Amino acid sequence: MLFYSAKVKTIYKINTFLKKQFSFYLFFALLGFFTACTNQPEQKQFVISPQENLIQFAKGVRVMPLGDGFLLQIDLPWKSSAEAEKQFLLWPDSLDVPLKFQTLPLIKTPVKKLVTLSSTQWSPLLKLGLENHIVGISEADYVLDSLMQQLLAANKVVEVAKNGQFDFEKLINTKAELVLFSPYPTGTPVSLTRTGITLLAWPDYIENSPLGRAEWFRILGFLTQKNTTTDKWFADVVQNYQSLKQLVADSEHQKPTIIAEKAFNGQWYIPGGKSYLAQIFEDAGADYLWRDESSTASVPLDIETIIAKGSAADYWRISQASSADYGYSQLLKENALYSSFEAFNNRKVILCNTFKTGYFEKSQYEPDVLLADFIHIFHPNLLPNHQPVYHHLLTE
Amino acid sequence: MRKRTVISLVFLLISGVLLLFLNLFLGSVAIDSKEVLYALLGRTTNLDSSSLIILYEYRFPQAIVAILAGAGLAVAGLLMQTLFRNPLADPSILGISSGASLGVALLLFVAGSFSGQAVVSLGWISTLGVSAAAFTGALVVLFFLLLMSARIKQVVTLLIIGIMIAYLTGSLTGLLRFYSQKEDIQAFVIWGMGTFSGVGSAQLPFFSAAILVGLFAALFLSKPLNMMLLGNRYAENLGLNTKLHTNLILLLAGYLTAIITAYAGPIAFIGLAVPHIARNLFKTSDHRLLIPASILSGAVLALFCNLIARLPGLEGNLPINSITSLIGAPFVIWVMLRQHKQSAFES
Repeated sequence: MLFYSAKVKTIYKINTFLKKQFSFYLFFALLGFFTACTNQPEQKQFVISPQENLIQFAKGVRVMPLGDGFLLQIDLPWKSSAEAEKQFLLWPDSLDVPLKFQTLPLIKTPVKKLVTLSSTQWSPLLKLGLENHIVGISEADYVLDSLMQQLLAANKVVEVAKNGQFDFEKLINTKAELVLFSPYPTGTPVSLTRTGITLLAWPDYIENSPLGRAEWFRILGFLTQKNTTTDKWFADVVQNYQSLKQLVADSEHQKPTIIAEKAFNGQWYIPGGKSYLAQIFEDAGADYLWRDESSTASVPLDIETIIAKGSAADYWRISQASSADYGYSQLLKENALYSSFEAFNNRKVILCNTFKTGYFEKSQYEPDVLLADFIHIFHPNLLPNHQPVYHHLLTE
Repeated sequence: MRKRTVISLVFLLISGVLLLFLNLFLGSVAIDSKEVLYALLGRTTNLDSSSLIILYEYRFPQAIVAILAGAGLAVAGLLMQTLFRNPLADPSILGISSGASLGVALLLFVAGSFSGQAVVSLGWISTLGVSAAAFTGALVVLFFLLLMSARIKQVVTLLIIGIMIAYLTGSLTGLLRFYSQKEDIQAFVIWGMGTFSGVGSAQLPFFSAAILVGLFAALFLSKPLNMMLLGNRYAENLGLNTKLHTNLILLLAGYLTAIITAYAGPIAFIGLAVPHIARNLFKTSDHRLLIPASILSGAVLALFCNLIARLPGLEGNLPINSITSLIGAPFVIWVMLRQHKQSAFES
């Protein structure tokens, strides 16, 4: 009996609790409301089979010939996004779009006015001689390319975003036909869609294979009707890269061990084992100490963890933007613990000075050059005459 | 009506209208003011389509959001200061805006949005927009506060609990940041700078209606607020249900803060400073006047800050959150020094 009444009491308590806590219900109702409000992924209209796909290495983009034009599909890595797979019809401006394709979002080619928010987008356009197709870029302070600096100074190209924030008025005023932007997994910001300009997500940085990341410049070729030129250019890059990789594979060598990056504010972001850089180390015949790590991006680690695993590594690759000379004394000033690394003491630090080499603007399209730099350092006898472009062994 | 009240009201109204037009006329792209005026009056203009998009999709909504957000934060701040009888209280003091920050941090960091590298795959949360995440975060804290308020007699205890919640959510946000990708951290920092440009013409009616409802509701609380200013005991003796009104005030201030933070980011300072400006300008502590005065002063200050942040010649748009403090703080110091012998609550 006692047990029974206790039970009733408990039920009563729970009931009154629930009645009182109507706010909880309201909260969950609101949650449900917001979840229901979000867009469902768009229905794909066409399926691009692997046989029809013209793209060889990049995983986030597909192109298929379609009548007189092309079908372009951008895949975003986050599947939940409303724009997870977005298709566009690239169609020559001079021709009418057939009725059966009119439901597809249209980009008329050649695109003549482009806003390119990343240097990996405008840099190949400059190389193709298409500088008059670029009307806007972002972060002008970081531009190293002299031609782009001239275009900015002459106001032929406008800075439409600075410090990660858009100047929407300037962006609209470029009267661009297309904006290439780094996508947002939470959906494209409403403030950007309000510009009325067609938006094309450009997740090239997600590609973790060097050739896949480089291949994105072919999409610029399709957009500007220069695809014959870009196809040939890319074929050369692939040819160079693969023969260099083969050169290493065929030779008999010791695999030097390597670590990468350095501490920043107590965090050491080590490139993931499946990252772009890890892939290049592998192809250049080095043993990256974090190669078994599963991430494709950078992983924050404690400096003690790095010392424990990597203090005996043969090489240490760092990147640093520095207008002045940068060497071992500057490194030691940043952190005295760096002297616990053998690569530091043996003068085997590999520096990529991103300020002097234009690494962020150009290297993505020259993975063969990046690879040759590392082969030249790791196995000097294989490429004795190579002139390093992006990476140098620090001597001082 | 006192002469001072009339002069202050006229001053605020005129400067408000003037600032509204300046906000519409000036921007990083030069558009002829006469044409802007014609476009606003619905007459035919020579403006091209891109200028019209700038005007209708950006400048106009941004000015309206500045007015409403400024007014809403000012009222929320006034409600908090009166409820806690503390001149340093503001809408962020109970952790409602840090709840919003935590919501956004969860969205950006845990759902691994920008880098696509999810720490934990939460599925549904990544389909939410930033606004929805901020709103949800703010609501969770608000409902928790209301639950607490039902158990607690002392309003000071509630204040301390609110501050603790703010620390708690703040440190959770900090921890999430620590384990995050650089790109996501940058996105979070930018959200934290605040902006009045996050609302387009499509969402503007919803945002406006939501804030106007809140402002209107605040006007009905004038008399209870006047009583509560005298202390809870006194208010109870006057027949006021203080428990109910404490909850109503919390709910209203939290509601305004949640909606504004969801759309504009955590905008500091306006909520703290504007009630002081209004009290000193109108020399009153009567909420029947103080609430409209705060609404007007908040709108004018926000419009002024929005104008400064977007002045042509300045590089891009300055973060609104820094501008509000940069302009507001010296002004409040000046107002305080002018009448340093009187307490802000006695005048």
